[in-house]
Amino acid sequence: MTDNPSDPSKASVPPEPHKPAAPAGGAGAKMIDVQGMIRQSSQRVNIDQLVKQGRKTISLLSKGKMEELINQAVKNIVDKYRAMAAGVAQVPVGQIEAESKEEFNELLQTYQQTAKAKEELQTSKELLDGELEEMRLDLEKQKALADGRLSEDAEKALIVGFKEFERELDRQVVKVFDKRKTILQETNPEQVPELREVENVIRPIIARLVAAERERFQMAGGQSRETQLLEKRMEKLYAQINAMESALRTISQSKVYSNQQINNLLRQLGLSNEDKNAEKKKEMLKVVLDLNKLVKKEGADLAARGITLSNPTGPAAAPPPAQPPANPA
Amino acid sequence: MAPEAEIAGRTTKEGVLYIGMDLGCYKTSVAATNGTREVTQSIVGWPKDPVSRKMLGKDIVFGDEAVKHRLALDTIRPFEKGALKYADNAEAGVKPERLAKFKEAAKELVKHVVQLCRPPKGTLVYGVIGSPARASILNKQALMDACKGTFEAVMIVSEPFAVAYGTNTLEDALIVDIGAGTTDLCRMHGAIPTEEDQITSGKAGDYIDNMAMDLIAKAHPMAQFTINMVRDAKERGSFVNDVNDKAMVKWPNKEGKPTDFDITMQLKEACSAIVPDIVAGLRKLVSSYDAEFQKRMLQNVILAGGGSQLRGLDRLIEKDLEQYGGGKVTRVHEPVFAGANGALKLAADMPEDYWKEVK
Repeated sequence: MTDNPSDPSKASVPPEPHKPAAPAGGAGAKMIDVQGMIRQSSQRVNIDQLVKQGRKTISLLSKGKMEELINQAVKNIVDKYRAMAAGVAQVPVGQIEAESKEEFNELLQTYQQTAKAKEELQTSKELLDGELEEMRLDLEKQKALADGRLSEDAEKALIVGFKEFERELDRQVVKVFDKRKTILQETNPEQVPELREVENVIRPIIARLVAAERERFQMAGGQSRETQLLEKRMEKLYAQINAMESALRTISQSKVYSNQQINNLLRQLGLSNEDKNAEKKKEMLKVVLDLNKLVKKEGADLAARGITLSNPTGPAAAPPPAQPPANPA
Repeated sequence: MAPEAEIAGRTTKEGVLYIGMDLGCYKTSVAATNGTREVTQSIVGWPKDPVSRKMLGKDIVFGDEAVKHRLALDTIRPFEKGALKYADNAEAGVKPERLAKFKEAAKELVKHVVQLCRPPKGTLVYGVIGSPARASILNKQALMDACKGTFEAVMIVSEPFAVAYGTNTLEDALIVDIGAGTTDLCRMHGAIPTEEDQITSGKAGDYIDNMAMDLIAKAHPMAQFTINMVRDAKERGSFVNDVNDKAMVKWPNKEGKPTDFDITMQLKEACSAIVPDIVAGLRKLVSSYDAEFQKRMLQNVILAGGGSQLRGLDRLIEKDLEQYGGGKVTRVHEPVFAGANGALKLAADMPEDYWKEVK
């Protein structure tokens, strides 16, 4: 951050009483020698000492960043008073100090929020990348299944299971009929042939029902698995997108980065809520509709006059243009 | 009919699939409200004889598959050289007796692309299609005809306007949509662009391919190659700025032996050839605009379309704009889908009543 030496308002900034005065104007001169201040007032601490004090994590803020934030804070306040055309010289030094401090804290907070948001974004991006890779692999697998390359094993297991079930069911049916036959032979032997006929009808019906059920199960099973996977993936993706959205919103409110840039980014991602063009768009949609209606109408008129793409000038001996068909609508 | 219900004055749009489509001379991209985003080559092929039909197992093939089996097919690129889209028959080199086949191909291509979106049975399909800025009423009508039977309702919008709508740059912006057949430039000033706001240049993707082909043929007379091979090389290694990348290809020489050829200079020269027209067009659009807003407009030049993927194109245009006081050129996030995305946004924003009026 540099001062403009030709800026007359700069001369009216009083040196702060408790801090070294700002360097004299000149190209490249800084508003406050923050680096020097930090050097003078800071204390060097060994990391082992911090560990002994029980500190496990420390926040790092570079001297350069601190300088930038402090200068920005002071500049904001000065700019504010310039804008008010009040003149900084008329404002008590204490007030400037207090406001600068407040502004610094706010900037520091937004810087920290932005840094956090950036970290969140990075994490979200990595998660999304991983997720997309997972989806890609899954898609390949599903395609392979659809092609029949991987279905053999799965289908074999299903068929084997069902075949056993069918055999067992058949055994049970036979057992039931045998038992009934034994009872009938003792009590009502003339009905045994009739029972045999019933058995001959019932057993194929049961087999057909089981086959149909197997098919239904096969289809339902596949669909449900696919749906579950998709739902799971969608949930994950939604969570990631929410995280990204939140992070981007934080960045967009930050003073540290250009709000315009961030808002453009949000707009590109479709995350911007406010649409400054909403009204304009409504009008445009109406114009698009009217233009399309006109194209239809004029297209019909031209066709009626024999003007087509293959004959854009119309028939050689063009008859008088046909009247457009009366359109009650 | 789609189930619709009026809830608190709002119409639910269940059962409607909105589609945005960019029918390009070379590639067609599509985006739909069910999340589909596909791009396919704008080519349709019919098997030449029963043998090829049996081999392909289909009566009609599209896109990459049609390119792959083109020797066994009668292929048509329905929008090639602007056919149907912005040129009349003579201009596009379409013989009058072939026009019906071109129209059929266009219809089939539209149907195929909509099928790629997998609309559930019984769903209403509403679409917005991009058309070049210079399309005539007859061209627009031809596009609408191609959509008949596939869409319940369709609307046509200018391609650069679709891009502007999609990127929400409706004011003080210049859109440059570089396709295969044309480069469309459009001035956005908060209203639907009129003819005066749009300029179309014939120097676009195809122009680069043809020029590169000539230059390479001159520089490497021993190389054997086709326009498709040149296009492929361009898509993989095209750039216009001074970068250290080399465009190397392994093509057969006259003896059929695969040989390395350096086509860096030829590709670069061909790719750069479209820039002067773009800059001249931008300048023309800006200079005829309100002087107060000219600078702001130059700071908001948006590049879209497949051709905008040429590496360094944004910087090269910026460099050329310096003579007019400088400008800022930005490439859209997804150049190939920019038109389709914008058309989809238009379709989705379009009130339900409007669709009924164009059915």
